[in-house]
Amino acid sequence: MARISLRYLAYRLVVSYFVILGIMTLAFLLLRLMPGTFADALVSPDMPREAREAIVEQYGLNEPLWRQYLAFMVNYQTGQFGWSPTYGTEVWSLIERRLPRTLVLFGASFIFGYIIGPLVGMYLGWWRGTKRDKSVFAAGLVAYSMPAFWIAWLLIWLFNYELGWLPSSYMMSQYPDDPSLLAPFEQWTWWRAIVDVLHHIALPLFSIISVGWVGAMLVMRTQMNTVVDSDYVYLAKAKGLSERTVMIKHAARNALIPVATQAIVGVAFIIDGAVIIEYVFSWPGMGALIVDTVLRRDYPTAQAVFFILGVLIVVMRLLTDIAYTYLDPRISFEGGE
Amino acid sequence: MATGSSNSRLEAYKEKWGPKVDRYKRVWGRFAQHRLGVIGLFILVMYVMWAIAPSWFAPHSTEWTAYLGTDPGRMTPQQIDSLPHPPAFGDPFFAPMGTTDQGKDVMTELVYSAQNAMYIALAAGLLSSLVGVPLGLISGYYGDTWIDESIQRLADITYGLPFLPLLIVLVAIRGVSTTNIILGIVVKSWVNNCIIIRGETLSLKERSYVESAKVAGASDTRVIFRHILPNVLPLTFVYLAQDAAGAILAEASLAYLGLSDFTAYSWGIMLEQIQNRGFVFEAWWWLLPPGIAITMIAGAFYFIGFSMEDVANPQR
Amino acid sequence: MSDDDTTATSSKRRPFLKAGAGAVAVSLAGCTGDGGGEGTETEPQGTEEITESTPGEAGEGDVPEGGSFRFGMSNPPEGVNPMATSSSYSWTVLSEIMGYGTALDPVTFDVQPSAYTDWTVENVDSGEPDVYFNIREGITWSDGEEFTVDDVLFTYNFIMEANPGRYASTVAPIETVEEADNDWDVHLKLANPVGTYDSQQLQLPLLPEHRWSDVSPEDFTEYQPQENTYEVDGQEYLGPVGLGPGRLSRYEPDTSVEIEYRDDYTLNDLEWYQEHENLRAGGPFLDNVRINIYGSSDALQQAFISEDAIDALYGSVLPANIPDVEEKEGARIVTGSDTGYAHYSFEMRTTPFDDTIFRQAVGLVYDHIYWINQLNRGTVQRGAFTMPPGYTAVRPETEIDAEINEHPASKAFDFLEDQPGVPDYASIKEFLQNGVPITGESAEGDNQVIPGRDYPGSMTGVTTDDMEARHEYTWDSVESDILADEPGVEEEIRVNGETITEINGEPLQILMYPPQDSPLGTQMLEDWVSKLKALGIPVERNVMTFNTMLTEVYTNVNFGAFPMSWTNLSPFGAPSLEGLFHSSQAHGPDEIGETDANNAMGYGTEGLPGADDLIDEALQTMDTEERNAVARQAVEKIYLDAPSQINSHEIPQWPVNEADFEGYVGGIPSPGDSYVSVQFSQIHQAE
Repeated sequence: MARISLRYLAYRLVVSYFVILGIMTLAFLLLRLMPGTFADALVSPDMPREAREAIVEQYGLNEPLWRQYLAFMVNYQTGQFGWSPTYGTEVWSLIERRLPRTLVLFGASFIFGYIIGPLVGMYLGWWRGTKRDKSVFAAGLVAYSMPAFWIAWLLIWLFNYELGWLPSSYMMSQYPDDPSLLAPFEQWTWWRAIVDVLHHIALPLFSIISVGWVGAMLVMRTQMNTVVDSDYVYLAKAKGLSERTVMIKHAARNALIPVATQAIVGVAFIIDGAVIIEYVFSWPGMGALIVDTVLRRDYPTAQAVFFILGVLIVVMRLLTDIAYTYLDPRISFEGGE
Repeated sequence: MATGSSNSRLEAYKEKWGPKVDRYKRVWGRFAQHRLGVIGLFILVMYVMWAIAPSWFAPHSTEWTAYLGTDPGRMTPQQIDSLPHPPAFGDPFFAPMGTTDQGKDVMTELVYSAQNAMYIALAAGLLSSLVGVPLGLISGYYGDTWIDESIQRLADITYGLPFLPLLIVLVAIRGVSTTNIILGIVVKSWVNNCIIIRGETLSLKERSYVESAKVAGASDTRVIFRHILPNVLPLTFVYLAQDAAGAILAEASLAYLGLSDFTAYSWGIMLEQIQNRGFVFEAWWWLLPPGIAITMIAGAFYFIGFSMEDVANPQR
Repeated sequence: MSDDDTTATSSKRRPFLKAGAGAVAVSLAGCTGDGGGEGTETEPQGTEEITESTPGEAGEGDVPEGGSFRFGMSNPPEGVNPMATSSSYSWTVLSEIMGYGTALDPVTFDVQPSAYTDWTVENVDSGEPDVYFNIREGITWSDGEEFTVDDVLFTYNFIMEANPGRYASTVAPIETVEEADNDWDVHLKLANPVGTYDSQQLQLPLLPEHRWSDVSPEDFTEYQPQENTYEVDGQEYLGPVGLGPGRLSRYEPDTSVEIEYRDDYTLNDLEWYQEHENLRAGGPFLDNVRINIYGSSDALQQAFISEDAIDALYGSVLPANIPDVEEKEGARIVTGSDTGYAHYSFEMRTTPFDDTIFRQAVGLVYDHIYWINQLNRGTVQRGAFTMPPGYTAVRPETEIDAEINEHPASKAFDFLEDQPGVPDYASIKEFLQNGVPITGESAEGDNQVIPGRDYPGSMTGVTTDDMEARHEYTWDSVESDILADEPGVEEEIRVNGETITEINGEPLQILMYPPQDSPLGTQMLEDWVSKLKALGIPVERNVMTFNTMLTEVYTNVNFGAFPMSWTNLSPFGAPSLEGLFHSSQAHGPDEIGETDANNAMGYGTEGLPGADDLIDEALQTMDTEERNAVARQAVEKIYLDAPSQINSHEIPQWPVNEADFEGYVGGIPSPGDSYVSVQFSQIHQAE
């Protein structure tokens, strides 16, 4: 059943590679177009001019742009991200620590968003036009319209400031002997760690999901609506299958495919949300890192984050495209009928 | 919609415009069935009025300061300590939504900010359509040629750069001003328009009337703009509304990060100020209104957009 | 501290902390080591004024040892390589680990022994002085190795060869360093006299040779000490190794850093420390300091105020949150003084900022009362001189024993008020039209040069270079577009008959940042700009981010005036005055746009007033008293010449947990940031 020829796959791979090159080039140029360098932030009364110039030279900022560009393209593709002047460590070690944290938060929000969103969308689409549909749909759009950091503030205000139930920063307790609600778990280290992370992730996760589920819901609702009237749903109903079975097994399954394509948009959307949310919640991940390094003109690190997020997005896109081709609805319909 | 009054003037005129007016009426009729869309429109009208004549709706002028009014002078230390002041209705001053830490009336700032929001929403929405729609049309019309290929790869590259960080970089390059924020938003938001319109065009160009126009010798430009464009236009309005909402939210996020033109009155700036000065958890009367205002305007655009989608694309 | 202008805030401002310090030594005598051979003084120093921060321990007994102090910062440290980083967040950590030859008394600014026991300078008159010093025996590095003369020689040679930015100017005057051939341990040969050698050349962070000998002086910036671990008593610690009181036990720069204190640290137990009236010898008393790093400053403030997640934070509490800290049970605010100043500086090569009288006049419409009382709610104090009020030795007031920040000679360019918040425009115009600046000579009563303001004459006797105006100022109808749009502006200034817009092709450019860098500053600037316009001066605001502004100011010199702040100035005056106001730190004629320069104003360059002579003299004077006197003159001359308008000095508001910990030291400069290591050495658990 190989619907994708090797040639097509190779073609897509090559194109994706060039897209990544394009992303790198654009990121490089745009970052260099920003006024100022990280060396400026080092101005201080006890630092003489020569010392500042030495820093500029050390990071190769006075080399011609094309040489910096070539070095960047070659080094970054081979995973040599160099040295972060503002964090004083290797860029890779920053990313190594921060990428997993972002993936945890972002992966969890993605999963929750894409469970809740399609489920709700399925019901709304199936019962389209009912009062319940209208009110939940409107509520979804309202959630979609709220600034992410503002929701986060409201949540912090309620659950942290007023009630004191949930922490408002970090991914886990900083020290094993930090007083917390973990006393019962004193003995089982793994449990302790998991509960601790869950405790910390609750607010940021909730902030992202409260917006993140809507995108999938909207697509699912529209898709359900188109399949609701399709022949095979009538057919299934005519067969005497229960409403519920038809909705889930027949209608929803087919509506899911465009939702999968929409997920790629969702990835980008959630990455953007994560940037702000990480910032608000002191979640030490990639989103906070990119904002920070861009603002401080830490080119080596900012380039690396753009590069990695770019690769992530392009790869996700490639995978969904391939999956899409495999799951082409028309083909699976034929089998079904 | 406003052309309704003109159809009684001249017969010829009526003949020419009549069908169109009827069509608008039909469209409006369908739109009006969507209560959400009507609510959205209502909110938008309110904001438009705020934007056009803020001084009619705001309780004070922007020069007004708590305790002092518009006269020069100094507050006493006790007065300064009482700021930000919770909502007050006449005693010691009139500020229905309270004041900021500098004694500015929150309601006044809220009303004066509508202008900026409308400008960003409409300009960013229109510009993304103006860039994205023609590119989408061209890309779709010349599907699977090098033109299509290059436009799509350009879209891919833009897609691969995360929106907010990209926006921060662009604003840093060009300087923090409302215009630059709008341009920065457009750099990214045209892509969605382009991809959607391309898909539509791809299917439209297979239709018989397009084929026949081509056979009749119509130029490519004519086919694209006379035959295909009118058919994708409703869809572009849907995305215009969504882009407008997205632009408002993007501006708020930028403001939160401190990258917004603070000399303008803007809801994002109001939220940025409350954070910057440390009153997020101290002054609910200052925290809630700008957030609600942003939610309402973005929501209004989404409401209108999704209602129009149904109108443009009736599925039942 | 005077509070005439700063409305006394409701913060619990404390008098200077004075505790019965000497008494501590009795019980801790066992761990004083050799005490530098100075003998252990065990007589209590008498019971001084006791403050509530050390309740009930009036000079008796020791303090509880142990405890874990949680400290919060809003930015991560940028590495812990003492040679590579200048980040103040890094140095908050590094100050606990690194040790120095000499120590700076945070209260008196006297230079005191630390790892060096004594020192001297000879041959000053030759112009190439010889510095000699002895090193303390019997102290150890944090990894347990003994501290030797070789380590000292290694440190100097390494830093001279590597020449890291932070120490480049410190090692520049050192010609050679070698083992002394007389009774002393080490001999430094200086290329020129350096008045403050004991706090500069003798205060480099000491590096253990056995750990740094593998580091190449070329690639030293890439050395990551935290990866180079060591073990003490079976426990693993992270580098770097130093002579300081702490060891790095955890380093996660995104989230948390932990410093554990050694039990065998003796350098806080030296005689000068034991005799100190305000500091308790024998610290640190804590087991460890845990530094939590938050992603934003509001998260940091919340962590203290509502979450009790930290016992103190880096820097100050926001003015908005001061009432919260005051109301919070078990918390209070420790105040202190600034180590720098906030200013507007002028591009002195642009007409009419080239004219002293004009620079003086723009200060007269700067409403500092609004800035201090309304915007900052009393958390800043009036500024005049380039040295903060806490640096009394180099303040001009000291010359005549006047109260700091109170003397009329420091108020010559304060806001000239007609009625509350409204400047006396007529008098300011008259001042400019008459063309006589405040020169430093007495201008009181009938001799007033600014109508309505008495100036008693300079305190140190200095005068300006410009004894009269360089230009002629008149007022005529409004021509510049930027003023035409402004309601209520009826007249525009003419400089020698032309408008400023005609002369420069554009209005005067005043730079400002977006508010996240300085939320209140931008508001103040709005106010100032509108008053300058009302005076008929065409000014244009030019908004740019902090980084952009740095480039525009320090590289491109593309400004009329710009706001910024300096902190961490040298309490000895001269080194900072040189760094900021000496003509050698200004751009040469062809250097604009090519290179950075701290003195972007161009102060002291060709044809402009300057204080080079006084600064040079202060730099090279070895005698402390004489040096301070010259520095005071330089400071007052800069005030009169007005290359920068000093707007204010901060009054730090450092929030601390007083329920569980005591011993905080108030009244010192920057108690919660630059000098926080003093706090860490004093804080102890509450009884």
